[in-house]
Amino acid sequence: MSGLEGPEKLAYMANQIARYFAAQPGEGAAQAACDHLKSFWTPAMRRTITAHKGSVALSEVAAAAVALLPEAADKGAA
Amino acid sequence: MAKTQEIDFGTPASTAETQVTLTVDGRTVTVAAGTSILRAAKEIGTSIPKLCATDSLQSFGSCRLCLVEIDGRTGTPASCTTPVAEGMVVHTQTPRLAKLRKGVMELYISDHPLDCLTCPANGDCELEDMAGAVGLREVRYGADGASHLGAALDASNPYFTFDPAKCIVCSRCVRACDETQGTLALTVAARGFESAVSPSQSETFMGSECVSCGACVQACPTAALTEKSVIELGQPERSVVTTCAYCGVGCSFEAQMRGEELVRMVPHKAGKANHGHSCVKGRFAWGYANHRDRILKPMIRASIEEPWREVDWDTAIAHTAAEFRRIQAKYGREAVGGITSSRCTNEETFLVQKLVRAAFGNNNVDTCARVCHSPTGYGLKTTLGTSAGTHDFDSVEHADVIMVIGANPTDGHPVFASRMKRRLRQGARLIVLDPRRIDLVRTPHVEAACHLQLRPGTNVAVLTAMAHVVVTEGLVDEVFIRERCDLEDFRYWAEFVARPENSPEAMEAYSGVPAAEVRAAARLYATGGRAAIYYGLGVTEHGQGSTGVMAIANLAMATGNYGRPGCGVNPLRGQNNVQGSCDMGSFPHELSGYRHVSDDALRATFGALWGVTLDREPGMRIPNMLDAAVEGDFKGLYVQGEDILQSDPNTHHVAAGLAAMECVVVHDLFLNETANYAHVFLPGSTFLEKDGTFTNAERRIQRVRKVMAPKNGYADWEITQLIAKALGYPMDYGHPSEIMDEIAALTPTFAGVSFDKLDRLGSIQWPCNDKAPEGTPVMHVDGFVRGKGKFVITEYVPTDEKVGPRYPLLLTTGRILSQYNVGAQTRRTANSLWHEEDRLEIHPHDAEERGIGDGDWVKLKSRAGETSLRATLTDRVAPGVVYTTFHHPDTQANVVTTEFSDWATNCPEYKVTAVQVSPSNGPSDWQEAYEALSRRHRRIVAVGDPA
Amino acid sequence: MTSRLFVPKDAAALAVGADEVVRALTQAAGKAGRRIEVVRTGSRGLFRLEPLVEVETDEGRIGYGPVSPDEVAELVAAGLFDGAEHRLRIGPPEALPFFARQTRLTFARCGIIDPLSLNDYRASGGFAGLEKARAMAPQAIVEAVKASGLRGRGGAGFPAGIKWETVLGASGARKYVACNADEGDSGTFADRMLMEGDPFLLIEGLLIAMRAVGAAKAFVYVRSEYPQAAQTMTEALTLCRGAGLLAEGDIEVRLGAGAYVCGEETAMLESLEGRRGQVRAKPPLPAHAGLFGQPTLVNNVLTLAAIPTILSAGPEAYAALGFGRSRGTAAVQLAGDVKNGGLFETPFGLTLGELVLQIGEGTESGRPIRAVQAGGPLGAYFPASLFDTPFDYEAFAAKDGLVGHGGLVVFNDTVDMAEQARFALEFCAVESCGKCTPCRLGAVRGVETVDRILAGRDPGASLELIRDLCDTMKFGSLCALGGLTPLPVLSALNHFPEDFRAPHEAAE
Repeated sequence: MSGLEGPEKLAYMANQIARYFAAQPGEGAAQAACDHLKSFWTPAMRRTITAHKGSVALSEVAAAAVALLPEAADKGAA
Repeated sequence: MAKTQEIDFGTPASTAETQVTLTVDGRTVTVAAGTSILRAAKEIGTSIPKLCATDSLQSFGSCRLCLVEIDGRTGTPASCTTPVAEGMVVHTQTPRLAKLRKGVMELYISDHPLDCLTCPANGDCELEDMAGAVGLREVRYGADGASHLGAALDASNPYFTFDPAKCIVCSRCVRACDETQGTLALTVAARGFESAVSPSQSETFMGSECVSCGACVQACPTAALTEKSVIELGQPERSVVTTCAYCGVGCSFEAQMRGEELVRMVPHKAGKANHGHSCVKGRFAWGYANHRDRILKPMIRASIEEPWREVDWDTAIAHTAAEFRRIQAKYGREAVGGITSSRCTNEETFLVQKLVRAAFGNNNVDTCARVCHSPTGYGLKTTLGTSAGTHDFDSVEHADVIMVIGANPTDGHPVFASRMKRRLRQGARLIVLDPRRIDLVRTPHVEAACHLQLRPGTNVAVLTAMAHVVVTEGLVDEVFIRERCDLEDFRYWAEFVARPENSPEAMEAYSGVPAAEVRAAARLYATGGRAAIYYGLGVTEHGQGSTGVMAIANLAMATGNYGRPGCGVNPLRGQNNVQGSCDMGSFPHELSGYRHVSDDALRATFGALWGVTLDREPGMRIPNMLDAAVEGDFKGLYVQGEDILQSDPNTHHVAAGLAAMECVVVHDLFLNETANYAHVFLPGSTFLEKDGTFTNAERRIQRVRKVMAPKNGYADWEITQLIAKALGYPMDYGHPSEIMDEIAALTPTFAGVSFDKLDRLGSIQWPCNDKAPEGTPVMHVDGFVRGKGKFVITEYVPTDEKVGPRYPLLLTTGRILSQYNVGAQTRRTANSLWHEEDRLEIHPHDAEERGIGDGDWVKLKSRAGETSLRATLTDRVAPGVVYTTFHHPDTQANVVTTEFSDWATNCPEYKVTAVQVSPSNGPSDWQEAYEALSRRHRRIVAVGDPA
Repeated sequence: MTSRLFVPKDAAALAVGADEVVRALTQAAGKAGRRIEVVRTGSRGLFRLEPLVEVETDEGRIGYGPVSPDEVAELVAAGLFDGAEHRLRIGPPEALPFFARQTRLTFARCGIIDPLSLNDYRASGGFAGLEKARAMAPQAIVEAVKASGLRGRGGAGFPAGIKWETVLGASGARKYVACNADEGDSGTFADRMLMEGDPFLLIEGLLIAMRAVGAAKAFVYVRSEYPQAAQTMTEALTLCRGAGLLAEGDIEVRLGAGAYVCGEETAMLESLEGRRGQVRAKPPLPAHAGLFGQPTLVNNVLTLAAIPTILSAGPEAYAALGFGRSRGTAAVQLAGDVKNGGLFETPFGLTLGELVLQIGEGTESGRPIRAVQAGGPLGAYFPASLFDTPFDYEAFAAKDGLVGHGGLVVFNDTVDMAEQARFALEFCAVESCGKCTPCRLGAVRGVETVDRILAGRDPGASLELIRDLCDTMKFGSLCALGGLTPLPVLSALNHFPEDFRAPHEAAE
């Protein structure tokens, strides 16, 4: 991750988070990862990842989690 | 030394439940069976003369002053070694005893210098006291006999002297080194009249294995072992009980004073964390408080390229407030933040986060725990429900198995390590998980049953493999799990860990630990009786730091190791107030008591009291702040008592972030490395100069008491308050106790805490509220705080920091006994005599391949950067692994550490960095450039100087 | 026909040339064309006869002694192999009054059998006690020891059965038996003689003790000055181990490191643990927390060696012997200026005078006896006026003396009792472990004070001081080393005050 900046760094972090929740039992991995992002990431970070979700490499669960963020809805609404 | 406010009962208390009643000099006393007569007498205020007995040590019976007569028994037994018996009738003062005691004292004094008036212990000498107590009036042996009066003084230790001429060979020092400290550095050499206290094999103290903990000095009844500060300054005249400001053990000390001058720090016997023991840092390394490097006047500058300009407090505060307001006006409310310190008091920490949340108006507050134990907070809260260790330190005395994971207690938490070693000497068995052979693996009379020397970064692999053994070999505590844990989660977890890919055999490929060793350790942990886990930053500072913490919590749940003394899961906190700074709401997403900022009702409560509306979104963590700064979005930072440039990973990135800010305010004792990039310097106060509380690793809240006025003019909490006021946010606390009252009002786990109660009880372990008015030594006794214990799946994810042809070695970092963290304090004391520089430990094989000899300069290079330091060849580290400490800014070990971090908390992965090591002729270009920058950025123009 | 000869290899015999005698005998036999077999035994214990050569004849064993190597040829020529007459011929040794007057229970085999022959041992009744004990419950063994009245032979005379019972009743993860063979008293040699002359007896006693108290491991702590004893014990143990006799647990020989104080039981335990030989405070008693903190039975060699007899012959037979509360036999060791120096096993109760004058037959030098030191270097000096004292723990204690380990050292009229008092203090100063103050400092101050008295410096005050010091040491010391040092000093002062006058004073 050294050298990663901005959206790429955030994507790396989101993938790490998603990997943890993906390993947990049940179907709610994306929601749990999304909740984690809501709990610990600033709105600005969430906006950035949402804005760049198409251009950064996100795992399936990470992408689903980002899609569940309120910022994604805002963007969609906008 | 022995002067203390406390009573010395002569022998340790008995823990027996049976009570025994006896008569001492006609007075009846009832004590626990097993109590010595000496102690029983003292319980009713009868002082039997004694010299070799002291209640911190087992009775020894050598001085022969405490002899008594017992009805129905012949002879004159020593009261220190004779236990009480029911109906016993004891006489402590008879003509026969008086004659015997005089006879013994006459012998003592016949071999003791008669220079009492000029002796540093004059007024604090038990020998002097006893001569008086037994009424010795003459010494008839003459002055021409054999004596030890010409024996040479050993002044080799920087903090104390050993004068064998004044030694009475009571062995208290030897026994303190054995029993209390567990180093066994001292012995009595020779025999008979020639008997003499000897460090190691007739070495000097400094040349011996002595770790300078001070236990021997503390135990000495004469001036044979005396602090140099006492020799220089004289006997103290008053003392104030306070709490050490070094590690997370939280030792209680008496600061012994002469006027405004600190004479010595003496461990406080009633301190429940340390029980009268100390280490070389807390006991002796306080000279930094008076060091000439200390900055006592505020300073500002427009740019970091300018020299510092001393200003008065008003100017500095006004300038700070103006700058923050300017930045917020220009870049937005989110463009500033603050960092609280785990070195400062709870009250100060609380005020800084309040300043950020209420006066800055955002949640951009974080603390240095980010880079150490934030995964503990996440992991233990998730599995157990509380972000804290489960047990008190005393609990270790009941442990049958002790598992130490990624911690080096003898260096990092020496006073607790001594208690651990004592328990291990008593027969508890030890499991160590560490890439490095820490001292505890093999120390006098202690040898680890298992040392799993895993590759850095594979904790989760090994811990999950241990769980595999516990589950597949039927070692789980089914009753405990059924009663206390979420069964569905358990079943998922059991199925997960039982998979073949989680077996020790499968994990061996990652961890390098032979499967048989993992199996043996798991069996011992699960079946060896009460098992306690103590872990450190070797667990948390990883990409899977939080997962590692949860793997530990799982393992303890699976084996039922909660709720009773002798077991539990306990983080060893690095700094004095890591626990407290986290408790106080220093994390950007949490208010005090670990409650998320998104809770509307909670924010409303705080908002009502503080008169503001709080932001509902989490703020930036330290790495986020630095990232944002590099990207131009974060411009102002208030850093209290922390040196992020030296302590945080990837120094280049930290420097770039700081350099991109417009106002960095450093509030510290010294011009630290971060201050090289600062625009405002606010001089801080030491722990001796303020009131407050620290919370140690066992959740124990203890008082810090002011023993002298702040040399910089203000206590730190007052400075934060001045900034708030200058920003237009009113803060008007008259005393830190009022801040604690506010904390208690806002935080359910602190509801019952007050300075008054702390003064009364000595210390309080939170939670302290109506349910537990005197606090909670052991948590989760009847059930977990979160309800049912939660088993979490701990899939092992190898770190992306991998070795390869360019960086074939794994670097891991740690600390050493004599130095503390970034060394700002300890480097400014004689502790540096033990550790002058950071060194790189490298295995002889790896060194040989590279042509590196012991003591050679080497270049240490990673993807992030490079530095140079000298090498130490040792097989403490396995081939393929190198190790260093990060105490010295000249080395800047964090130049090479990377930005990989824990998935949940962004705690940096300090413990794994792929590196290459090669011969070098001295400091690297970067080090030389930084040295020059430091010199330039530390220039100060005093007020009145024509700048 | 092969002649069977018996020559001791006991250290006392070796010291006066027993090995050379054996070589000379072999040579002479070769020359004479006689076939001989030499059995190396222990010593019978009358040292003026060593090297004692015995030959088996139709009338039993005939002794010749003391034999020097250059007399061998002459003896062989005279018919030694057939028991013929010679001026060195003493006839059947057991008929000598010194032996005939003894009651040998513990030392019955000493000097008679091959110490390392299990067959000899068995043939002479060995292991009968062990076999009995193995059929008994531990408590029953303890009862037998109690009933025998046996008291510890190391010096303190504590009832052995009570100590055994305490260890039996103590709880611990493991238990140990530690045999104290650190025989350091001047004028004593009984432990050594027994270990060199009948090691299986001690092993048998140890096994019974281990069974009785429930110990699975025993140590024999032998002083380093006894290499032959240590070697004999080690070889005997190897034989027993090979024969599967150590059923109760293994027994290990450990060598001391040359400190007198390691004969003190707690210092011995420290030494066995690998530490500095320093005395421990009691309690806890070793019986409760001894070796490695576990319940430990500490007994002297002679105490343990008395056990097989007590079991095989029955405790009543043992208890029937003796005097007052001192039951059974004592191994009296006569040394110093005495004609019949050696080991004399007899029931308690003979008077000191009988022992030194009748049994010992007075001084070797022919000079009058002035004093007898009983009980080792820390025992009291008895003047002739106290020769009516019966050899008994209580009777000796009543005269401010002690039986100790049974050593009697005879001094003739040339002895300077002030020098002897000074020596006792000097001995204490040299041997003190240094733990307790009265012993560590007192011994040195005592020597200095005696010197002052002898130099005539303020003798009155110095005499008072030495008595005060003796009081401090006697009642203040942690162990018997410092506590007993005043005994020889005070006895010299009390019985021989004339020796404490300074030279000029004496001349007046």
